[in-house]
This record gives sequence, structure tokens and C-alpha cells, in this order.
Amino acid sequence: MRVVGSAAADGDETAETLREAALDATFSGFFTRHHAAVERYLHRLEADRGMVEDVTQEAFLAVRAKWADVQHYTDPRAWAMAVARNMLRDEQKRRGRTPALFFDDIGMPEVPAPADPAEAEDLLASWIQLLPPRMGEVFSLSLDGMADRAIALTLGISHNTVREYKVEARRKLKHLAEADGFTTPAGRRRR
Amino acid sequence: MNLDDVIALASARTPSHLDRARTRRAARQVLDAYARTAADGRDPLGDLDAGDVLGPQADEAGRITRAAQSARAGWLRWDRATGRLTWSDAMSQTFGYPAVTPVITVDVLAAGVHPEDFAEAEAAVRRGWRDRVPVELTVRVVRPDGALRYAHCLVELLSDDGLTPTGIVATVHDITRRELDRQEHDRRRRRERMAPHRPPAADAPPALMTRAGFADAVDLAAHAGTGAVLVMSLEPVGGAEPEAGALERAVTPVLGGAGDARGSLGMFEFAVLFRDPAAAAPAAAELQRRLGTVTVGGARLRASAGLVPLAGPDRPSGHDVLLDGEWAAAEAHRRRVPLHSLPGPRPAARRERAVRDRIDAAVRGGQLCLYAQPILDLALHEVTRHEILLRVRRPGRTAPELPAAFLAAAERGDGIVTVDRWVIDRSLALIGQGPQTSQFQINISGRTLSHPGTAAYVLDALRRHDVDPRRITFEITESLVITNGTAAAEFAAAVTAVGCELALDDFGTGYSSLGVLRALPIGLLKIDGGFVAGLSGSPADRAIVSSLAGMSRALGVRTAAEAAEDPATVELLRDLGVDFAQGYAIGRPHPFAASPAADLTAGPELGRATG
Repeated sequence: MRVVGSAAADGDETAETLREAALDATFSGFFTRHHAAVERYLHRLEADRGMVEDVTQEAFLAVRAKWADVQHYTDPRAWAMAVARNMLRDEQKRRGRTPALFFDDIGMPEVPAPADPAEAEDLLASWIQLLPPRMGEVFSLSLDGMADRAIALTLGISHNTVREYKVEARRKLKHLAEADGFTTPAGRRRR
Repeated sequence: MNLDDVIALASARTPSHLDRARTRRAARQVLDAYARTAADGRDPLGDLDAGDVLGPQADEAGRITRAAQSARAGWLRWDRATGRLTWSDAMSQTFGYPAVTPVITVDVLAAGVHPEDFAEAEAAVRRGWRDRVPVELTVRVVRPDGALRYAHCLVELLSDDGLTPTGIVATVHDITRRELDRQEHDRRRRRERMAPHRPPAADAPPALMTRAGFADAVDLAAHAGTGAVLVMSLEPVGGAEPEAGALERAVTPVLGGAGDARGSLGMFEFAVLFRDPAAAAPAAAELQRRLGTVTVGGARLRASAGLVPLAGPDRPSGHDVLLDGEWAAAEAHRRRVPLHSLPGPRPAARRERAVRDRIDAAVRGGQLCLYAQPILDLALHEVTRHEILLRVRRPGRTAPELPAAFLAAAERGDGIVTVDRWVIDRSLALIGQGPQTSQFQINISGRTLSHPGTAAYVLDALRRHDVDPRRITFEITESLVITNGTAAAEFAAAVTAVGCELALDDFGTGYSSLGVLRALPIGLLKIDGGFVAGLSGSPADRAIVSSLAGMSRALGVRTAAEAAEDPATVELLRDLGVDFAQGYAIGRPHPFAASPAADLTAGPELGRATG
């Protein structure tokens, strides 16, 4: 039984509850805006959808835990991306699997042209998964419109590397796309 | 569509109702999970670095090394202005230094990195510096305790203004586990490619066992104390003499799944094992009836059968039972009855006398004859050798047959010595009459090898027939060499002393042992046909033949491949570094005549175009 119904303590508790509720609200807004992008980013680095979903949730849980600070960061989304990526790489290491598929695992079935944006995203992700891990990260972030400087900071690599890898990744992806039969510009039928 | 179209289409995505519902659900789950961890007082971040990655930073190098540290990776930094090489504590420990050695020299790296990788890595980093590009490489680090780790390095150029490089920073991850996974993956794939698991075709009749394999099956049944062996000797009536392969192909489906095991004993002899002796006689009648309906090359088949129950006081070996069965089948043929049943295995003395009589009849009665098969020198593309082969001409049959059954009988006693001496004497006699321009390879059995006086007999025969010993190669089989180690060594010393060559036959099957190559003065290794016949379709066989050729070259031993059946295989053998090829692609065995000059100088049957 509480002996002293201290008004001050009650006030603190109420203030704390209000503060947490406000954080929940702003975090929910952040989550709604960026959840898909973070998940998409991880999917481009890992083919296992279950693992991607789990790691995305875990990353956002970390974001929520630090949200009081993170919401004031220059780019909270970049921080979320960095956290998610580190968690994914840890999880991949823990499961003892290589981050990317092996090239020679890929059969040569006819790859149908994607009919909608979701299919196009999956196809793109399947190519990015085949890039060297760091290159895939750089290209994926640049696809989401992140500036070179932000990519360098998010991934902890140099500007020079980001510039070079963007070019190199596009060159390799082009080869992968061509190997799957995606050669002709839009408007014409394939083959 | 091309890459850009796919990217454009992917970015056109707008969240659907379902997507939005899923996002709301996921957000609720995160908030619930957060409420639970907060109530428990747990920190969901663990040891995660929570700093603002985009916040104001020191220089680029400091930022990168800090990122490496938070990703639990090592780093290594070189500053152009000062020329100093610094590294992280983790790296220092990996290389076996106390954690208080932050400044190092290149020699430290050279000492810790595997020497094969260091030069390559150094060159790659220099190239990266010259071309202003990042380099990713994997090196092996040898720790002071000898343990090997695989380290992946991202080597980046540092630049304050984004243009002029001021130094290099490398982020180093330990990827030993991933690298081992990759190597294991590669190994498995290689293994799959080399040994593809091919289930036998569902409708193919089960293949017949070899004589030795079938004898083992009979041994097992005899051990169990019950069963019966049916031996059928086939005689083609009318039409041309069928080839060995054709006969077996025609008989296999007829035998089908009869009895409990089926074997091919010789060219014309087939056998069925029954575990239940009562089932044997009715099955024999049915098989004979069905064989009577088969025609091979226009010839009908007449089967004389012998039946041997596995009963009686003395337990004979599987080989002995087969000899009894063959004798019983011959007896049925002689008496003109379809089946001759024995009450049980014959007494050993009578069996041995029957075998001896048969061999004497063959040797004295002129039933044995010699064939020669050309062997191609792959470097010269010219036939320079012949293997002399024994054939048995059975009374009443036109074509001589392969001596498998005959030799199997002879091998049971000393009869084989009589046969081998006949082969040696007859071969050397014919060779002595000819121009002696080819190398001749004569087979000699293990029992003859270990028989006292064989070496003396050979040397005497060489003198008698005035044959140059350097023209003669004796082919011996490994399995027999091993059981007669000392005798084989004595024979080998005696014949190589006068200039004869020794060849190891059927290498790679049976009781193969590499030890023989060291123990005996072998000059030629004959790779078993089992590795050669499917060479063009089997990467595994190619790897084995190529390795055998390489090993033999290193030992100063030449190699010959048996069963080269088509020009493509011959070409492949040449590419793999094999010295000689023998088989239908080169030439079939032909009767070895007294003046074989014309035969021997004839070129190989395969076209010159392949050379």
C-alpha cells in the first residue's frame, strides 16, 4: 500500500506516460513512412523473406528504444537502415550462411518479364543479391535516393568507394539482366 | 525490357490496402514488443552502436574506423603524409601481438599474411591506389599458433576534398566460416558433377554378374547349406557365330529375374543360383524353352544345362561348384539330353582330373590359338605394339572364343602353368619367325609367376626362338602380384635383367595397389578399360586417367589405355597424356600368324584425319 500519495510522483508518472505516448505516435508515423523501404533494402541483401521480416521488426524495435534521441538525428531513416543492415549481417553470420547466393546455384530458367511493380522489385532484388555484399548495399541505398555522402556515412565507407561502387554495380547488374534476357529497351518485346 | 525499365517499374510501386494493413500490424507488433522489453527492463539494442551516423564527424578515416569497430571488424590505416601504418587492437591480436602495438611496419603484415596471398594483395592495393578505386580482397592470415583465418578486406582511399587521396584505410572482417562454407559448397558441386547418381532405367533387366561375383554369391548360398546352381551352355545353331556382347544382350532379358542371382560365366555359359533347390528343375525347363525361341544373328540357341545342388558333406567353393556345373552341362550335351543333374558337388579329385583332362585336350588337341591386338603409340600415331591374346576353339564350333571360362577352370589347379607355357613358347616361336619390328605384350598369370622355374623357362624360350628380349613385355595382374610378392619380385628381376619389360594389367580395379609400382620394376601401366570406355562422358574418369598418367610420368612409367572404342576417346587419351591406346578404335584382335609382317605394319583402323 502506498503511504504517501505524492502529487509530485503522480505528476512525474503522468508526464512519463504522456512522453512515451507522444514518442509512440511520432514513431508510428516514422514506421509507416519508412517500413517498406527498410524491408525492401534488406530483401535486396537477403533472399530469405522470413529472415528479412524478422530482422526488420528487430531493427525497428531498436529504433523505438532509441527514438527519443534518434528522432532528432539528421536522418533517422539512414540510422534505421544502418542498424537494420548490421543486424542482418549478424544474423546471416549467426546462421552460417553466405549473404549472397552463389552464382552457380542459379539455374537458367526463362525469366518472365515482370508485370507489375512488385514483380519488378523482386526481380531487381534477385539480381542485387548476386552482387558482392558491399556493392549491393551501396547500389540499393542509392536506388532509394540517398546521397553519396549519406551512403558513405551510413555504411562506414569512403566517398570514393561509394562513387566507384555505384558505377561498378550498375555495370554488373546490366550483365546479370542481360543474362536473364533483359536486353532490349522498353516498348519492344523481348527476343 | 532492360535493367533501367525494371528499375523504373519497381519504383512505381504504391502501397496497396493490403500493404498498408500489414504495415499497421507490424507497427503494432513493434510497439507491443517495445512495451514488453521496457517493462522487463531489457535493452533491445544490445551492444549496438547508437550514435548518429550522419551527425558531425571527425575526418573520414576516423569515421570509417569507428564504423568498423561498431561492426566488430578490424581496421588498418596508412597515412600518406606521415607514412604511418596503424591498426586496431583486434587486428593486433589476430596477428598475435599484444593489444598495445598500434603502429606497425609492412614487415609485420608480411609475416602474418600467407606468403602466397601477400604479394597478390600488395599488387591489388597498389593498383587500387593508382586507379583510385576501392579494392576488395581475401587473404589468409596465419596466426602465431599456426591457425589459419580467412580475412576479407575492403581497401578504400581516403580523401579530404574528395579528389586527392591522402591515405588508405582497410576494413577487415573475419570470414573464415563463410569461406569454409563456400569451399564446401564448391567441393560438393564438384563431387556431384564427378559422380552423378544415375538410377538404372526402370525397364532395363538387371545386369548379369561377372564370373567372380557370381562365384561369391554361390559361396554365400553354400555357406547357408542349401540351394542349387543351374549352368546353361548355349550352342548357336545355324547362322553366323554371334559376338560375345550380342549373345549376352539377347540372353539377359530371358534370364530376367529368374532364381536369386544370375551370372555370365564365359562367352556361351550362363548360370542361375536358386536358394530353394526344389525350384531349380522346373525353372531350368522353362528357361530352356524360352532360350529356344531366341535368335542371335540368325542363329537359334540350343541350351544344354547342368544342375548342381549345394548339398553334401564337403562344402566346395563357389568356383568349384561352377566348374561342376559346366562339366554337367557338357555332359548333357554329350549325352544329347537337355539337363544333366548331379546329386551334389563332385569329389575334389574327380573335379581336378576333369579340369586337367580338359586342359590337356585343349593344349594337345590344338584347341588353343593366339590372336594379336594392335596398340597405338599416341605420340607417333603409329602401331608399335601388340598384345598377344589367347583364344579357345571349342570342338564343333567355328569361331575361337574368349578364354574366360577356360582360364577360370585352369586357374583352379596347375593347369594354368601348362597353358601359360604353351602361350609363351608359341608366341615366342611366332615372333622369332617374324621381323620383330613390334613390341609384343604377353599375359602371364600369377600362378605361373610363382611357379618355380618359370623365369628359367622364359629365358630358355627366348634363346631357343632367337627373340630379342627387349621386344617382349610381360603383362601381370595386380591381384596376383600381391598374393605372390616374393615370387613376382624374383621373376621380375630375372626377366628385366635380360631386357624384357613388365606391364601392370587392369590397373585401377580389383585389388589395385599403388605399392606395386614401387615394389616392382614396372615399365608400363595399363589403365583398366572401365575408366576408358566412358571417358568422353565422364569427368570423373577423365580426372582419374589424367592423374594416373601424371603419376606414371613422374615415376618414369608409361601408360596404356584399354578399351579405346572410338576416335574421340583416342584423341582425349592423347590430350590427357596417355602414351598408348588399345581398343576397337585402333584395331580388333586378329589371328596371330607366323609371318605377320603385313598385318603388323598396317595402320590403325581410325582415320588419319584424327592424328
